[in-house]
Amino acid sequence: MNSVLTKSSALTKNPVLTKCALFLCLAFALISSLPLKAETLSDKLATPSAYQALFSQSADAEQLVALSQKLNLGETVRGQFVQSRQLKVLKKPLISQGQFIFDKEQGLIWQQIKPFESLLILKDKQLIQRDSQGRVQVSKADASASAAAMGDLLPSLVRAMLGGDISGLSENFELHFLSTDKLNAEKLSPENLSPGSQWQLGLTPKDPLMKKAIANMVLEGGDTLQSLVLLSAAPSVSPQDMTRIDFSALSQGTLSETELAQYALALEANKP
Amino acid sequence: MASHFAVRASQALMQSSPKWRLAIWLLLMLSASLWTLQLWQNGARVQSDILAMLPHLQQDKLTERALNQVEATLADQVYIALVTKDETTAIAAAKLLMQKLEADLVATGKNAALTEIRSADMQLGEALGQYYFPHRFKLLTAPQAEALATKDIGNLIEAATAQLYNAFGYANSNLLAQDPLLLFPANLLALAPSSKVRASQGILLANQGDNVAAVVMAKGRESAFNPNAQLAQMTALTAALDAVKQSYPDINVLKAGALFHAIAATQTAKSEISILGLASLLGVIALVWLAFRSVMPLLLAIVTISSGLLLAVTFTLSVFGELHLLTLVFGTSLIGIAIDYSFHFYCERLSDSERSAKATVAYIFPTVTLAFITSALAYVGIGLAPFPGMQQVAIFCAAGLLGAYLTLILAYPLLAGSRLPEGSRPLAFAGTYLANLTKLSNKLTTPLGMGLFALVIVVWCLIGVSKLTVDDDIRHLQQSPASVTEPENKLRQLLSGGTDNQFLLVRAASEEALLQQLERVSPLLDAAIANQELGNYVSLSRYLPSQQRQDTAYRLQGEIYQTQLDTVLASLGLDENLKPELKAAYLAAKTEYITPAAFFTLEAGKQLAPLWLAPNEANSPVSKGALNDGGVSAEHGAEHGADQGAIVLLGGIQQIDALKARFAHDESVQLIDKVADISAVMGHYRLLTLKLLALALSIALLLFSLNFGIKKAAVVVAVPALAALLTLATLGLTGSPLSLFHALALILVFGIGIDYSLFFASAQNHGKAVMMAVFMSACSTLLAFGLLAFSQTQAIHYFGLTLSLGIGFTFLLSPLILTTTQALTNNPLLTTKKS
Repeated sequence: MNSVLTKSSALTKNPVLTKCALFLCLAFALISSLPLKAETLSDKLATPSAYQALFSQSADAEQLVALSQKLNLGETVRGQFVQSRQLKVLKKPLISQGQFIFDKEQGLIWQQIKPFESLLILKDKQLIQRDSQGRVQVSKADASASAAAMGDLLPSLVRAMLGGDISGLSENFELHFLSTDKLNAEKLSPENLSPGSQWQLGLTPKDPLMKKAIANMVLEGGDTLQSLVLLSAAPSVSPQDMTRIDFSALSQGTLSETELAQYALALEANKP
Repeated sequence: MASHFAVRASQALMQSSPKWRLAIWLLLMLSASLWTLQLWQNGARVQSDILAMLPHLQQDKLTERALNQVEATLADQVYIALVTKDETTAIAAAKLLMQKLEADLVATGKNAALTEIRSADMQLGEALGQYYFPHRFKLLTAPQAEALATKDIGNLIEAATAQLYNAFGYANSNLLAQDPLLLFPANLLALAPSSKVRASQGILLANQGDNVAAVVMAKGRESAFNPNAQLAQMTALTAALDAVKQSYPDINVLKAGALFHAIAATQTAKSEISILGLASLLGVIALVWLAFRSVMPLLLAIVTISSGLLLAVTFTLSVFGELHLLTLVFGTSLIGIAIDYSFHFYCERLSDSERSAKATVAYIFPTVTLAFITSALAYVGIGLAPFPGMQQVAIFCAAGLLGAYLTLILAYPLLAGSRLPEGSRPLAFAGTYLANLTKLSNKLTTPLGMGLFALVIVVWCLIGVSKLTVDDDIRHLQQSPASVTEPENKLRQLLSGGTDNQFLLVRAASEEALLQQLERVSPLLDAAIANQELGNYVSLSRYLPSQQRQDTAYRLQGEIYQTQLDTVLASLGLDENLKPELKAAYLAAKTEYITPAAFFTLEAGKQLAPLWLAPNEANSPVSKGALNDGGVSAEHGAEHGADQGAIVLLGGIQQIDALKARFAHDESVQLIDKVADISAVMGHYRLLTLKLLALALSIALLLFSLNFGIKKAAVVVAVPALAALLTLATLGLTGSPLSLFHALALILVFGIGIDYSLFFASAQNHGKAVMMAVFMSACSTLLAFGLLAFSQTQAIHYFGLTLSLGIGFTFLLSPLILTTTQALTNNPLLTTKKS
């Protein structure tokens, strides 16, 4: 009568449960599928249409190989960032800054310093967050779908951005590439033009859910990585929510003791 | 009067001409064949669901509905996991598999074997979000409610600010404009239980060590236990999986589902029917050939067995409308018993070859009739067990015996007329065996011999019976092979343990009361999880807050939307133009509630709808009738008026007793544990059957003492009683735990064994012929049942093992009746041991 049991046990096991698990990723979906309101607010945003040319272009393998060499900064990279979020409903952009360390072995530490402190560590498929009050929250990619969605997107993005692993990106994104000459030809705004060869790598998530949360992403750089731009809709849509992260003072070199100690927060947080 | 009539009728029968009798027999068999044929064409089928063998439990309507719902929803699901190294391959392979299965579904339309092919359904969650979002003012997570209740709105503002600065978070303009404190995402996330699975590109994924498993699910259109559906489902699945394997040869496939258990069970049953049936048939043929050295008895043996099987199938189909595979396996034993009548006939012919077939039939008619009646009664006894499957076995075997019996009475007089070759050798052999036994028993009947014999038996019984254990757990009665259970367990781990077959049934008088009741149950279950009594649970209260709770959430959010909206907008830097719309939306939502009716129309809701047992409108006349019965089932009195129910699925149960204790004092919450209930029923009937056996022995003692006197009757009954005791002792010594199937087999041992002792008791000086008949009968019975002991199915194995032991002991003990009778008159030792 084992089969009886199984009939009602293993088998039955998961239909409802598993189903439900999926909903979670959906949080993203729903949110961006809500009807637009407050459209009146947002003429002040920088226009995303600057990236229209990029997303009409597809990337060829050769370009990507060259790019990945350029992006590969070795085992460890550290640097500063300034993030500017321009949301339609906000009266003014939210500016924050901080520093980060990326190590191919250890993972990523993303530390916001202004206007308040917060810390995010991405390590071994775990997402550890510490808020301004010092409260620590750990999400295992295995255990919760929200962490998994983040845990899936972020590592491959970070590895590509800071470690040059572009082939890993193509698993989850459609890739678009534009290089200097074309940029010049398109006569984009002067701030995009710098001496040396400029490039843009456009990423469109393959997963429809992910796509609803972040419709498009752009990596920009010259000799090194300069910025990451997140768009909430196609570049032709304006106004829309747009987030820009500019990187500076990128440097290489092995991890110091203090830096390694920072990753240890992951271990501490793991203890019950 | 009735017996007088029976005597007259049998006399008339015995005197009628052999030709007429054969004509009647042919007519009977022909009509049985036609009737069976017609039954098959009208949809009679072979059933392989072991569930069908299980007892029906006595339970109230709502419990029964709950059990049926759980069964219907959860049964017939097929789970396939494609395990490989990288996610891209896993997703592509899963997409290919789904595409192949869909193609098959489209091609076969309504007759498709597998339907509801799915993996991660993205639209499902999206729809859920869209349904709940307008009700966001009625939803709060526990920490949110806590913060609002303590007027600690600063805490919420801080959390929202942190989200605002997170580039990869969920804060965006659309959401902020409608939910400035970003309360809704946490509520939506709360709808999803934590789980190891994730989704990508519409495919459900789980990590297995370093590998990734993509999970695809489908539902069989028909029960996996229907052999045709089974075949169709397996064919569709195999074709699709072959295509996947061709494109992705490195993929490892894990399968789980009732389908694979059912296929394993069907294969076992089929091979056992053919192997055991064939072996049994060959054995009987060899036996007949060795004993009678003639073709005719062989042919007639086959005719007897075939007509027995024909009537068995006809009766079973007429009564049950289906034939269980296990019945057929049990039914192979019929071959061994039906042939007994043939043996009686030919042994008589052998001992008096001058007599005509008709006269021989007339001569053995009373004995055979008596034997038929006792055996049929024994089978009816088995049929008293509350197992539909065992009832089928009883009907099958009793009808089979009837077929054999009728063949003997009606067909033998004409067909079995040919002369037998000289049969002295087997008879002489039987005589020698009996003579040796007599010598032995002469030695035994000295006081010392009797004492030793008694001592050995008593010691054996004492040790054996004291070691006897009991196991009524139905899960142990059939084990699927490891090739089925191993991948299933792996898959179960992938999907975080899943759901057990125990569940909670929560009752209340109204919808709102039920939802509130469910809200009280959840914290109890959370505590049970914290205490490691339970792994997980699925309750509707996660999706359907009571109106009471919704009202509370709405009132608490008044703090945000009515009192402090300016502060909220200002501290987050949001445009103050949002204010009028937010206020209006809050006020407009006041009368809108999340309701079960609306929720169950959603795709996601439909999947959970089986957990909701609304009062059944369509059946209301029936339930009125049930209410009238209410006086009878007084123990359910407390639940009357509680006609609304909800199922809470439980998973990863570690300590069922502790869990049960949590709800022991709550009449509206019931832990339904079908397996335990059935096991308890099994135990109950095991005990009852053993008592029935004791009762049957006493009645037999009483009856026989009228015929033979008390002493001889005691000996006659002592043989089956001792055989039963020795069987129990041997089972104890071999460590085979006692179950209902052992007890049922003991009843049959009594039914068959009492014949042997009766024959010997009334043999007087015909010992040789009786010995030969009993020897052959025991051989054929042992052949049939002994072979059942080799079955992979525990239930059948137990039955076969017990019967072969029992019949073996009876065969060894029963001749002693004859050989020790004289000595016994002065030595009542044997009789004292019978109990």
